[in-house]
Amino acid sequence: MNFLSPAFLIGLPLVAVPLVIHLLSRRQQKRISWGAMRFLKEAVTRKRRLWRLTDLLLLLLRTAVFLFFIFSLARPLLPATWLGGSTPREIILVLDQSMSMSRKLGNTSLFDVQIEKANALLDKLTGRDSVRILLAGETPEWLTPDAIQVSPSAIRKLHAQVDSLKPTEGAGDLIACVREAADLEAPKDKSARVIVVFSDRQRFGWRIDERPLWTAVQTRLKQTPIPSTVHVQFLTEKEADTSNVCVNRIEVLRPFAAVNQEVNFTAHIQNRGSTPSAATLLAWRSGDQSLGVANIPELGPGASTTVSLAHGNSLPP
Amino acid sequence: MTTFARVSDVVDAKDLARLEDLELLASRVVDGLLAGKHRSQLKGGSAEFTEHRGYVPGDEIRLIDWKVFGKSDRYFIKQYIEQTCLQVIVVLDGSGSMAFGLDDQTKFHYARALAACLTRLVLRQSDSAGLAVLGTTLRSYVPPRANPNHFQAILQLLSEARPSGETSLAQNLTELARRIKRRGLIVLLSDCFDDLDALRQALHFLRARGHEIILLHTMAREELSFDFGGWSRFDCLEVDGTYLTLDPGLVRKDYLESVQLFLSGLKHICGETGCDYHPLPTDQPIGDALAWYLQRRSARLKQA
Repeated sequence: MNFLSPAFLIGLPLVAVPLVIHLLSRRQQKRISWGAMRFLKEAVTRKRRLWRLTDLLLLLLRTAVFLFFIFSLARPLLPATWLGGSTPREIILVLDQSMSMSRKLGNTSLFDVQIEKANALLDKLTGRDSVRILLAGETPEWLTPDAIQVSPSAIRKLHAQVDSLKPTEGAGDLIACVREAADLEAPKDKSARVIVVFSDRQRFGWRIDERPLWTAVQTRLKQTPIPSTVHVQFLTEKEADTSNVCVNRIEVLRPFAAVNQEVNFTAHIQNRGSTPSAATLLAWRSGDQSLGVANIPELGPGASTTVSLAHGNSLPP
Repeated sequence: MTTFARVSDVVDAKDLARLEDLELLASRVVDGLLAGKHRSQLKGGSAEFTEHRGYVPGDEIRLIDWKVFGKSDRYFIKQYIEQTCLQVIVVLDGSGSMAFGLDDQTKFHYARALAACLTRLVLRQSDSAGLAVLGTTLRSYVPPRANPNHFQAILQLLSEARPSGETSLAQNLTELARRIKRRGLIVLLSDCFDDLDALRQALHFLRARGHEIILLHTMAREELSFDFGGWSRFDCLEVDGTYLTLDPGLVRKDYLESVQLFLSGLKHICGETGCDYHPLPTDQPIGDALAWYLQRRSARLKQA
């Protein structure tokens, strides 16, 4: 349970006050030498059971008054499910469109698994939820820029949109997508936001080394007016225990080139796997046209190298 | 060495003075040997005329009412009520419950002062007064005497008496009734915290033996109002080690109902057995309360 003004919870020990008074009043009892004991015994015998119950109820009532007073100051946030209903939520699905999602797992690719899981999740949403879908490519891109209130027809439409997606040939910036989702203005009719990120465990998209970025995302998530949570659904059981040579980025020294002027491309290659990679070839292609082949040496886990290509003709548009 | 009790040990002189001009009368005929102010069961030659009866041979000639003979030409004898002295026995309840008293004096002290006042009053009007103190048994008994010096013996017993233990009032009254030979007036000073059925039988027994009974019922103000606050432990005065811990506010209503039931039962028994019941709460001044009762009683008897 969360509180809007948790500082007032410092008064919680006051709840014990009625109990302490109750116990002290019993301890500090007066002693009276009494003659008319028979009438007192008669009265007590009649009342004793009811009397203990009344006593207990009074104690509970006094305690409840203190508790109510403190809680009214601390302003607790109760989950709507406690009151018999489901919480109206905003669901943001982040779908990984990076090239690594094309990797095959048996007959199906990771991307297909992702689509299947996303569709299953969409089917589980209730009529009080709304949904947005964010695609994680080189830059975040909204598949549904506006929040869509869940309804059978809306879900059908979303299924069709999701089914038509394909993985790109670039990387996927997942942490940027989380930041993008957290930056959204909180909808007034929702009381929680859930960001669901699908991932194939590729480190590149999470930019784990960029600590300031993570801190900023974390801060932003805490500052949202409604509670926001991030769920990451991994599409593979564990990180593959293999070598994983990938192209981090391709740089061009000149952004503009004249016709027939030579252009230099530099590809940054890195082995992101946990085992050393064997020597391999890098094929440079522009559409269907082959531009050349370069050798990539053996790379240890995390090791990187660069491969350059000097091309004399202008590339087709 | 025995120390002699003083009047001030038992009763305030002001209370005694308040009763100077009052008298305690019996409403019924009483047995007596000496001449006094109370009606005897014997009819004799005293000053108070009661009735005429026809002359029969053997009656004294001097008793014939010649005025009636002059009018009716028949012989009638005048009859007078014999007046005799009254025997009063004050019975003081010495049970542990009589030791109760918070703001005022204890019930026992109050009843003891009442006993002193009454015996002094009885002796002053030349009647005989005795005292019985009831405890677990008939604890002490001073037989009735008409001698004014007898007050010292009564005073001595009163000053030495202490309330304690559990008492069966009914049983002790029955035992006392067997001891008293002459019919007279019994003044019972008690809170009557006893079984009412047993008490009824005891009072019936006393009445059957020809005694007149006055019950001066002493109760403390706190026993009648039960206006205590906060958790309290009530220790029983009659049985050691018996106590109740409770919040008086929670049982007040039921307690007062029980007390009222008891009081109405006691009044009913007194009415049924012909006892003169008079409540005397201990917060009333002894002299005033007793004087008011005696005046009311005298007026009632004289009217009758």
